[in-house]
Amino acid sequence: MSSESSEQAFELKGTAATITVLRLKTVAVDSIEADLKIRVAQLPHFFHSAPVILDVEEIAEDLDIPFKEIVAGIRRCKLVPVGVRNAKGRRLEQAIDAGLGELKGGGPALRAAPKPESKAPTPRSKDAGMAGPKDGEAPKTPMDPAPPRMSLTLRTPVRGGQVTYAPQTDLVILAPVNAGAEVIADGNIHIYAPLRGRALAGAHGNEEARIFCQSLDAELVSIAGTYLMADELPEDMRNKPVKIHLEGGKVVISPL
Amino acid sequence: MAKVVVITSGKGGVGKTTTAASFATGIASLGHKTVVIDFDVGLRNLDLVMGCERRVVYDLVNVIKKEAKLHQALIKDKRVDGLYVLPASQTRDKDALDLEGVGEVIEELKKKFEFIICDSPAGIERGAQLAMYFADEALVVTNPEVSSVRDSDRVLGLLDAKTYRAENNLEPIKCHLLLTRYNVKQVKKGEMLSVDDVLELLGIPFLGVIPESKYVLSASNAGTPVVLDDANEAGQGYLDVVSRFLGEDRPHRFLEEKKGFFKRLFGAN
Ligand SMILES: Nc1ncnc2c1ncn2[C@@H]1O[C@H](COP(=O)(O)OP(=O)(O)OP(=O)(O)O)[C@@H](O)[C@H]1O
Ligand SMILES: [Mg+2]
Repeated sequence: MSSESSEQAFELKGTAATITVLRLKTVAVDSIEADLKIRVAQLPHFFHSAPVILDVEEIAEDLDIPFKEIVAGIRRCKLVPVGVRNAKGRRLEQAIDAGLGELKGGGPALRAAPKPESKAPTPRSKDAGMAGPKDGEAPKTPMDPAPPRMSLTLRTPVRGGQVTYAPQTDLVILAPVNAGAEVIADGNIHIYAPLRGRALAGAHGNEEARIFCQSLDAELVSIAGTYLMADELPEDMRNKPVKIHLEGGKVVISPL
Repeated sequence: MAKVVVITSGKGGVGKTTTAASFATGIASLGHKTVVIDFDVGLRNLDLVMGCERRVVYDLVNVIKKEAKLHQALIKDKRVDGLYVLPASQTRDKDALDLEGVGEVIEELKKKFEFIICDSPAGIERGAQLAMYFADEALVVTNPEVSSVRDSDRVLGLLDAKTYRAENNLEPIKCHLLLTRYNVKQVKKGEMLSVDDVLELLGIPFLGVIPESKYVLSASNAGTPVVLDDANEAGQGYLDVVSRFLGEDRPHRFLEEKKGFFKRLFGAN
């Protein structure tokens, strides 16, 4: 059944998706790729297939930027370059030639990639939602890219220095998130225990994302990039079960 | 099957070396062949606490660099049968250790000993990670204060991710909480975290407390692990901990303030 002629082939919508920016400091493809590999290895699930924008503001005017090679290098790291910022004239033409779109002005809300501490371990796949055979539950494969995406479930504490990211899905945590730990999800975050570290829901800009926790003692809570620090949390919500959402561009915390 | 136990903490000066010495000595005195390894390369001090510093000829680094045979570096304890010390080097820097070399030494020790106790350096960097890498169990030594608990939490994350067991998807390292320098009076006054506070934050099985005791320092200076002196509370605490670790059920004796004679008479608090 083909679509009727009265229907449009598509709908054109503007969005304010958040995208990772790669601010170039060099035009040496090798070192860009090498550094990127390290960053990606630290947070593979955060970066995998993520769109990126190249910002070339810091590259001296007289330098030639090998856009095509850089784009290829970034793609080898499993990221998808989609645009360029702060390129003018011939440089811009070369970028467009290499398949990059121009981002003008402030551009979309730019997502700063979460920074793991130097050698922050990501929890083992076992902790990352694979129910151990002991639990007698069917194993889940949260990293499986095929839809429908299961939420990612953690059963052991997320400890200081650890970073866990649930791409394109919810993160469910059945144990405490301790001070110095960071949990990130593109969807909602549910913590059935105290939240003492940082929680970032809607990491790719989903403003409908929420955080739920049994006891709020967080260092930071963020919804779609808007965040509250520990000392901005309302005193009467501290150590209480709460839900956290975005309302009129503000992070709102209310009792559960 | 030989068991490798790491004594670790993250934060420095919390009592790892004191614990390694007393724990190893306690286990050996109950008839288990035990070796205690000093991983704190560059800051040798386990041999001092064990009282064998004048018998150090070769050390862990010599063995790893194949400059000495393992049996040449092992120092036999003079007080307890079946107890040996593998000292650290004072002259090398900490990069002298490598994972492969450490693995070989531990494999060889496993053939000869029931327990291999590893005294970790402070921090969460390479030295500490090498000390924990081959562990089967861990004593996480923590003082009842926030900074120490935070560091222990980070170390627990590493034990769960950056070790042989973790990287090979084996059963996780069994972690035990040991609270040292516990001062009941200060806990009562709210100046120190209580056992319950720490357990709530770390969520691992509780092995015991070692009370704060001035005998610990004098025992260290004398080169006698405090566990050998069962007349003082720290020694008794370590004996309890060793027994519990070996599977015995022992009551926790040092969580309450001891009542003095008058307090007992008049029931005051
Ligand atoms: N239960 C205790 N009561 C009183 N003092 C103690 C106790 N335990 C340890 N100490 C003292 O604390 C100091 C540090 O102890 P120790 O050397 O065992 O710590 P460590 O964790 O090995 O330190 P480092 O991180 O430097 O290796 C020493 O002076 C020791 O005597
Ligand atoms: Mg020490």
